Amino acid sequence: MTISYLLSRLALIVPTALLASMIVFGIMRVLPGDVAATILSGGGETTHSPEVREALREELGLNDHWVRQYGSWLWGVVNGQFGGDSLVDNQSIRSQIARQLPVTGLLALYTLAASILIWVPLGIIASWQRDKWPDYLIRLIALPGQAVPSFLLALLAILSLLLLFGWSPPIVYTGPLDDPWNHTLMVFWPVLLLTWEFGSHIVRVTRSSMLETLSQPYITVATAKGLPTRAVLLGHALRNALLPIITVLGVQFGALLGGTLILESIFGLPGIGRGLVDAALARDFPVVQSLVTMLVVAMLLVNLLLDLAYARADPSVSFTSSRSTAGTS
Amino acid sequence: MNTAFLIHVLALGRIRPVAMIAAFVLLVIVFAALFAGVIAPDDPLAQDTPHRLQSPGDGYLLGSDNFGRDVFSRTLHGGRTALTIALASVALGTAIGTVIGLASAYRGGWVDLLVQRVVDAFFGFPLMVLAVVIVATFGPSATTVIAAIAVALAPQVARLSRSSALSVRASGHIVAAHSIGASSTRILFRHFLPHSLGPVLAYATGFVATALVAEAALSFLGLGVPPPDPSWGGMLADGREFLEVAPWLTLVPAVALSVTALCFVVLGDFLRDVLDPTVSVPIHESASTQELVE
Amino acid sequence: MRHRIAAALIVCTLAIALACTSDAIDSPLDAAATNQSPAPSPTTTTLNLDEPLPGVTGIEDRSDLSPKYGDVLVLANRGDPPSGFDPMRTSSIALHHVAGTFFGPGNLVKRCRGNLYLACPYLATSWVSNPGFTEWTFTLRDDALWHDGTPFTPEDVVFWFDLSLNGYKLDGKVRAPAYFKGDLGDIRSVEALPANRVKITLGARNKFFLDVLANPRLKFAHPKHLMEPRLLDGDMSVSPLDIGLVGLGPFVFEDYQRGTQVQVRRFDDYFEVDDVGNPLPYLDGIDYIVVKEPAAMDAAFRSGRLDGGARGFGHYLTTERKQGYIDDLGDDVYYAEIEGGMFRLAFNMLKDGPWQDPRVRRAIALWVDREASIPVVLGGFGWTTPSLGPPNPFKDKAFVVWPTFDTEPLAERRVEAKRLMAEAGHADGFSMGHLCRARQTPGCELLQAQLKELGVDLRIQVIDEGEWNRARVSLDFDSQQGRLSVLPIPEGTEGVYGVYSQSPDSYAKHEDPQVSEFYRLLREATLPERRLDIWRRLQEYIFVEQTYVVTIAEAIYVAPYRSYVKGLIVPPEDGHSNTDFATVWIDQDEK
Repeated sequence: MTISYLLSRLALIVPTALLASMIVFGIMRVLPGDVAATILSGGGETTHSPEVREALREELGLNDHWVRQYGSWLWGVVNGQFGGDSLVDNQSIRSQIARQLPVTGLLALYTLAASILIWVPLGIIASWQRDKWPDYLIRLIALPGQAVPSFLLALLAILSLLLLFGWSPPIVYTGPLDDPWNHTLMVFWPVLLLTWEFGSHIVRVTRSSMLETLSQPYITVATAKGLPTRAVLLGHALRNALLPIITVLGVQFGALLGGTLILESIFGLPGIGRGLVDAALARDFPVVQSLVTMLVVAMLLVNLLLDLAYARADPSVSFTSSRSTAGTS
Repeated sequence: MNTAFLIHVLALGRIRPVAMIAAFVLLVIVFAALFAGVIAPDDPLAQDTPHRLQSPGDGYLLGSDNFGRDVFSRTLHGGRTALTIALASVALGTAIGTVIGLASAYRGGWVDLLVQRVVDAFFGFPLMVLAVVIVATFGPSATTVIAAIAVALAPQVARLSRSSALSVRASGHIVAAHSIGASSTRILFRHFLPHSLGPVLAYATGFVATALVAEAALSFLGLGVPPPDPSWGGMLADGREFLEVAPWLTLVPAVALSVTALCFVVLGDFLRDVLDPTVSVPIHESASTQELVE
Repeated sequence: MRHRIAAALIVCTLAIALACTSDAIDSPLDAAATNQSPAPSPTTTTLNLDEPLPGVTGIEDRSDLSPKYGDVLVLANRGDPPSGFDPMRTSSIALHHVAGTFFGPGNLVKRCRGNLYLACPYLATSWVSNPGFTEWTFTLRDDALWHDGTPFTPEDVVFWFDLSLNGYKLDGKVRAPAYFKGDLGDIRSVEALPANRVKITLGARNKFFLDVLANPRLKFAHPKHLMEPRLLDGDMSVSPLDIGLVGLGPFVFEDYQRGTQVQVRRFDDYFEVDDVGNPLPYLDGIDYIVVKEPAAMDAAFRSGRLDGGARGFGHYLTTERKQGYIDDLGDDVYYAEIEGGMFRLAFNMLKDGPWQDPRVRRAIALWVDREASIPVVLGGFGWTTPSLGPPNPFKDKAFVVWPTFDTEPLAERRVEAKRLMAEAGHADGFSMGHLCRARQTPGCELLQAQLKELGVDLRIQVIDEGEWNRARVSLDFDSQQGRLSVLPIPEGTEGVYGVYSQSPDSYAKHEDPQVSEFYRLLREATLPERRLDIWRRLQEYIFVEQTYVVTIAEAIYVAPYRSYVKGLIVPPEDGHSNTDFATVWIDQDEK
């Protein structure tokens, strides 16, 4: 992994993000629907005159030339304003993100940690006990995570808790430092569901990757040498099986963000997810542009980190093109 | 597909009964969905409001919904819609992704690099965001849902097809073909395509499960197939208001959806095992290329 | 004088109501009830005149217990208040549920707590108008303070009207006027007069200017001494949230955690007192918790985390959800019922199609099974319209026995409908589009299934939120759902029933001068009986003679409250009213 490659990857992030933002900008401009009308009608409930709507468009800068609009948004991003103010909310996008991002980030982090701590070991066990009952059991438990819609499970969970225990999760969000117990009670359920969904992929990749590694000759040698199973599994096989596991963690990260989206609004967590969908539906351009660009940058960074981890784990992989060209010299 | 391959599949099938069961169940479901019009006892759109929210029993096999429509009939027809959407979106996404991935791998150079970065950027993009934008532009309908899911899947497929194409490129086939003077198109279609498709097809079945769940999620957000045409996702979304008094409204389509998705996942695993030994790349690379795009 | 006339009107309507209730209402609703499945029977609200009608007697439980001070009320809110909490920008219930506390229930006037249909003093103690009803002079109270201690003055009123009607302009930058500018009518000038008075001069005579002003959506959220400096600085989009939500209402803004909660606490210098002289509000404060998912709100309420439910379509209870509340909490909950939105079908009269023939429109109106829509579309709470409603003097009780409207059995109506269709030459039916809002599709589905049997193929066109505002104003559609909130006075309905050239938002796009004539007569009417008569004839014209709009049913919005929440004033309609909660108190013993 050369420094020049690393730098070139980093350098490419900016133009890619810009390109993405331009695509989003273009799409949003083309979309039918008028954000000024949405704002003034209070959810479609009241009437207003076209004159007022025009004045609002003027006020929000919607009648400016598109170059100017994009430019002012871009300037807003560059000088730390994250794109200015939300059109619908009239609040700075930065304050919005500052509040929402940590929540979604924590959820993602908890899910990631839980998945690694739970599903990776389970995947190892499954590979070790291949085709015996622990293997089947583990895969059986993991499988539905991919097949059952999480929002349904969420609603069922809330209903069950209510009917069985007369209890519901808290509705007022607090940070982990402000009121740890309340925080835990709130995030536990969405994290549980997300981990199950996330884990279904991880356990299968771990298992197959371990199986792949375990069939290698050097493992046979190690076992023949008399090394205990644990040392073989963890010491040798796991290290070499890590690459695909790391990969899938990165790949699923984006899906994870999508998964938090629905669960956040069901469990009352003030994260980014639902806000993005609502903004798109309301044609709140600055918010959509800013959040999408931020997401794109995040994905690019995550991919870069993954590639770095990949390089560390397997020095034989060359990076003249990318890790995807595994094995080429 | 030659006889040797078929024998190989069946042989593996006998060792893996679970996969055979899944295939069988899937066939039943697909059959039921295809012939929903014949099998279903009622018109899925026929309302009978005096008999709304009936629990499963004599009048209605699996109960009736808020409008008095037969849940069983709606589930059958909904299966047709849901499966059509899932299969179409996966097919479309696979096609787009494969083209992008192959072309990018074939050209190489800076084109490859640029495309790869863009694919990276949209790689893990939350499906919902893309879906909202697409659905909002063109209005909610089955077509837009298909487009939305296809666009979300395409980058993953692109990644996968590209990596396997690169492996093929590195192998002897292409060099040999070049050396005997084969044209680019010929190389592309006779060599790249067949060997790249294997892993892609194996993953496509897994994507069908994802697409089924995605359609449900879109319906939850109000972005799915518009009423009154039934789809599993739509039934789930509509039924959630009645979760306590009429749980069958959500549970029936949920079970249908989950079982179908599970079957696809199991089949996908199976196909991957089947195609593994026949993909002609060195083992180490094959493991990493395949697990790459889980 | 006005008050006496109003009182007489109420007595008359109650008398008519008593006469009609016993036979007229019960039959359609009971019929609906018996047709239901074993699923929880929908509690259609039959008016029980042994109990006080909601909204008429006003504050509950006053006679038995005396209010206690203290406690923080915990209510659910359906979302974050949008637009920086600016009532000039949005009428969203997510804002107004909260805004009543720090901005108060009204402006110069408010809807009387005892009777929603009258205007009572609020920030103005009294008013006079000239005989021509073009000049209205209000005397303001002298003890009203903004939450930062600044006195409320006539200059604030002048500033507010100016901002609402004209917006703000500076150096080429623009601030839009308020969305309700059109509703205020033609206001020529607003001047501050000595002795704490304000004079508003109208361009055209309007006898009902007070009704216009008493709209709870018109709130003074813009203190001049805080907003004007920001505007002069160039901050055109300054919002109430930006200046700290300083208002004149019973509660002071304390904290806002986006996506989680809005917290307000008692304003100690609030001017209102109850009828024995105790200062309001009773509560120490209110916490509004943002709960977007109705199922989550149900769970939270039923497990004791909430004292009251959220207002807003989707969060209001359906029969099925209410059953869960009854199962879990039984007598510990009561249900506030507020008349809500109407379910209707409106034709685009400016587009060619089979519906141009009045017989076709009439046939569709006769064919629709209104009663079925209540459990299916309205969550089990509603009335078929036009029908008895809460004691709105302008909801004509006699309408329910109007000939050829709602009284024959459905079977008979449908025979007539078929006949009309054949007579109009459409025995084989036709296809008609129908604009449908994305989250409100059950009504469209019901209509589609019902009209199919008449031969009308109703093509549902689902429009998402962003598109809806454009779509409903355009002339592309054949028919539409239509759902807007209007003032609870006949004059307030011109925006939705009037001619298209004057009211682009009207449900049925038509250019019928007869309708304009009716509204003109309405405005000219001096006696209340005449006003009622014209309104009756206008409704008959629009709904029966021309059938521009097929009225189907009217929803009742149901919000749950724990029984220890006392003193809640439930408006008979318009859930934006009385959200100041100044008279609410919590009975600790019961809790």
